[in-house]
Amino acid sequence: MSSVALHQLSHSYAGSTYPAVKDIDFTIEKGELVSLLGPSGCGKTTTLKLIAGLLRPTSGEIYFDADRVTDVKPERREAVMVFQNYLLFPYMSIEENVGFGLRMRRLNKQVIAQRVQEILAVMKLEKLKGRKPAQLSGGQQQRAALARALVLQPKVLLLDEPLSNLDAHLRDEMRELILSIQRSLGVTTIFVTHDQEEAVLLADRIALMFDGKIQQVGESKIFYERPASRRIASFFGNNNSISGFKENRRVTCSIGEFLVESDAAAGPVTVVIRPESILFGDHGVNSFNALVKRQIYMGTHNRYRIDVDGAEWEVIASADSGADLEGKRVSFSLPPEKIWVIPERGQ
Amino acid sequence: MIDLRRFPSWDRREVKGCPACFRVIHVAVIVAIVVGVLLPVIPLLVWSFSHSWFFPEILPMELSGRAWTYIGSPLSKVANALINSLIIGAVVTASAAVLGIPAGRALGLNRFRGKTLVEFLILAPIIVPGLAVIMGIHVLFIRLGLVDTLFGVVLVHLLPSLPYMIMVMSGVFANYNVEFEQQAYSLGAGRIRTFVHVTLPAILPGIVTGSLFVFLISWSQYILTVLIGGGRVITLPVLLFAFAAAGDNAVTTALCIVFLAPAILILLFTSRYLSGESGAMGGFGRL
Amino acid sequence: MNTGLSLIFMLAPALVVILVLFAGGLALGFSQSLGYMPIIGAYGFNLDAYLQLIKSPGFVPSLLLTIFISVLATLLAVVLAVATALTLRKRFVGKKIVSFLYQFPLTVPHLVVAVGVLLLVSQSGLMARAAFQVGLISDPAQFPILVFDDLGIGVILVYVWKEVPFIGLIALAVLQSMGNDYEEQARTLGANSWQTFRHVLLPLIIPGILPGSIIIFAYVFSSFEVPFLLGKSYPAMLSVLSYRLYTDVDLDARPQAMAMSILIAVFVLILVLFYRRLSQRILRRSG
Repeated sequence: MSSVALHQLSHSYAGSTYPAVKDIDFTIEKGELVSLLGPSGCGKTTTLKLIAGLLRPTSGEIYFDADRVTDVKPERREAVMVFQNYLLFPYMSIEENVGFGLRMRRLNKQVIAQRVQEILAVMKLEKLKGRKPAQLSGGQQQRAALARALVLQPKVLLLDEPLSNLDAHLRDEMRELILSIQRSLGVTTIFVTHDQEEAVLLADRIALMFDGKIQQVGESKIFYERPASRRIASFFGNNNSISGFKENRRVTCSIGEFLVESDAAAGPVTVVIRPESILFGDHGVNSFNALVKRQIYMGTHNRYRIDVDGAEWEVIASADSGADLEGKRVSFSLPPEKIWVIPERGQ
Repeated sequence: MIDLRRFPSWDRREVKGCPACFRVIHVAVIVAIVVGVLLPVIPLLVWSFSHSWFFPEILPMELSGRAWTYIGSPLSKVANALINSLIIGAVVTASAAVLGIPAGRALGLNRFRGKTLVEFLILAPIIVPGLAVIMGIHVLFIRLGLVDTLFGVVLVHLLPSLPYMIMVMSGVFANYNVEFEQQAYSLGAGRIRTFVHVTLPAILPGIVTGSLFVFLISWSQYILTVLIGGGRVITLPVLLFAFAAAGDNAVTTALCIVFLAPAILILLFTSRYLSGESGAMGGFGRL
Repeated sequence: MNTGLSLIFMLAPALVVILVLFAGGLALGFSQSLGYMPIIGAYGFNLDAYLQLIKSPGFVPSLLLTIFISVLATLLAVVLAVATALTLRKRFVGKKIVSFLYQFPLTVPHLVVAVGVLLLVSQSGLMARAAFQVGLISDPAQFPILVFDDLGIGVILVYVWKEVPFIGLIALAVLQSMGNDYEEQARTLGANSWQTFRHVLLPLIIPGILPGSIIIFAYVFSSFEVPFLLGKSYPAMLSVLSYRLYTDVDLDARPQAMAMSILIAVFVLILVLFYRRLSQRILRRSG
């Protein structure tokens, strides 16, 4: 396994005016499990294919450990990609599929048979080895596709949307499988997903991409607590934001003025607060009024939609309080220490 | 938990490749296509305007419009043959579409008992040589009084061409989602409107490709026309065959160009349907 | 999905046309080959015509020549079609024009191609003239004999020129429907360009072009115009022999002509079955 370093990596497709991937600087540590997360068309699969060598970067470099691999062809790169729809070769049996990469390397037949046998046992595919891919379930195909990649002991394992083609109940199982493989083999793994929940559940670190650029990198927690932009907050499901102007520890905005504990510089800012941080009632500081448009019972808690100066905010509160607030005007408070302030410049 | 730690590592061998080879081959193939396609067409163009052109001259010694004048004159019967060919081609194409589209739909959308047999029957006229069948049909048509008639020729042209239409249409319908039609019905469209606005746009590439094949098969048909038309129904191929056998190069090549022109015109309009994006050619792969 | 009755309505018209013409023609042809020709007062049922044919000295050389030409033409067409389809699938400058040129031979009738090839590669043709001009030959007789030759090179050239785009467009449709993914998957698993082609692309294309190649094989085996114009008169292809017998002034030759046509059909069927077997075995091995 190797670390992967992307240096000023850009790629434009032929005939396209703007780049699919632009100036990516990113390092994945040895043995790390990293997610490239973003909406469709953000350049995450392009980045994966650049690492695999299936696309050539327009500019920039790729390193595996200290080795520059930018010009290394995909078949020699030892970064094996597992595609979203598995792409098991339909005319080969599972056993032949899994042995494909070893045969391409012209290894000794007995060695191939032995390796294939071992990985089939590990992936619990022994009984299915004689079957054709079409005779397998989605989950089994996914396991076979993983086996086909892992048998090569790649330096880097690249997974494109590994869970998106699976039914919900298989998804948990496959997530556990990928996690346990990754932990026990320690293979550097990069996987692409559009689903922030999947990234959070699986990845050591997430690299969030919009518009061909990496916007923010870090453990999943920071995307909820310290999103780098309003858009990132929104991508992680938090639309409770408002623009304002910060001076000292005070932000002025269309609903009024409130205190924050942020050290962000003075100037135009966006203020973000998580739904569960908002408190109903007047708590003495940062208190405002709003109309509750909707109240939804969620079992363990209630979810409220409140109207904040034309924007719809979400509040999550314990279901114990019981009262039906729908259609009523209520007061709510924003605890200063829970308010996240994003400077407007730099975006 | 799966434990992969006991999975030992192994030596890696690398396979040699040739990076530059493929680019060179790529360019070579493109050049070969262009040159290869044009080569046999060039002598046709030049010969049709030549008067005397003997070995080893690379260009004609004397140019002349003789062949073209002859072809334009009523004496040569070219105009007559051209009209016959166009009429036969059009009628055959229309008939093949009317017969072939429903059959293609039935085969492309459904699985039923005896489907393999039906497919075999439809393919049989393409696989089994026309010669084996046409001599029998000749006897049959003599009895039915269809010999030497335009109608007889149209009927017999359907034999090798209809299977192509059915194959293309069954390929198109195999990728067609009937639920679009059901959606249209449920939105209140009648049968005719649904066909015109929903079905037709979806299968049009197939109809165009199939019609192109049918027309071209009819257009270039010699042996079937000659046997059933019995020398009374003169089409362009019949005329061309006679001139080619007689060996007047200038007239033969001029006729060749007349023979080519309509087909090129049609290709100009249908080319984009053939290039594969529409999948209309895929029908040939599904049998 | 359709009910049984509507299926019959959709299939019946096309099937009736094909069945009456094809099965009727074949049955009548077959009965004539057995010597049943009421028109000339022959009511026998025997294998005389077949025996006479097989015993005649020209038969075996003609059969071998026919097999040689049709196998070689099909093979060359398939190889060139796959090579060109792989190239045309990529983006390059001028792709539209090259694609159009590539489709062009589809529209050109066989007769026209035959004339073009004749004027191109005969001993006094354009290529011989060019060879003379650059000093490769000093006399037309020194140019290799490519038409009216023993091996039917000219005939093969015509068919290859004509059929490459037919198979090629089918291959293109197959390639486009599967996209780049399988190739990319193979590359990241360690296959180089050649291995990707050999172990992934080829096995994926072959089943798609198999039916198309069978169609052209059957066509070349039995069609008559091109070998009639460009082939040697002895040995001639079986179809030419059959036509000669059929148009013989002596009506007694008719049963032999029919017998020959039936034999051609039988040979085609046998060879097609053999070909299918063979290619399936190759396919299994290439995995």
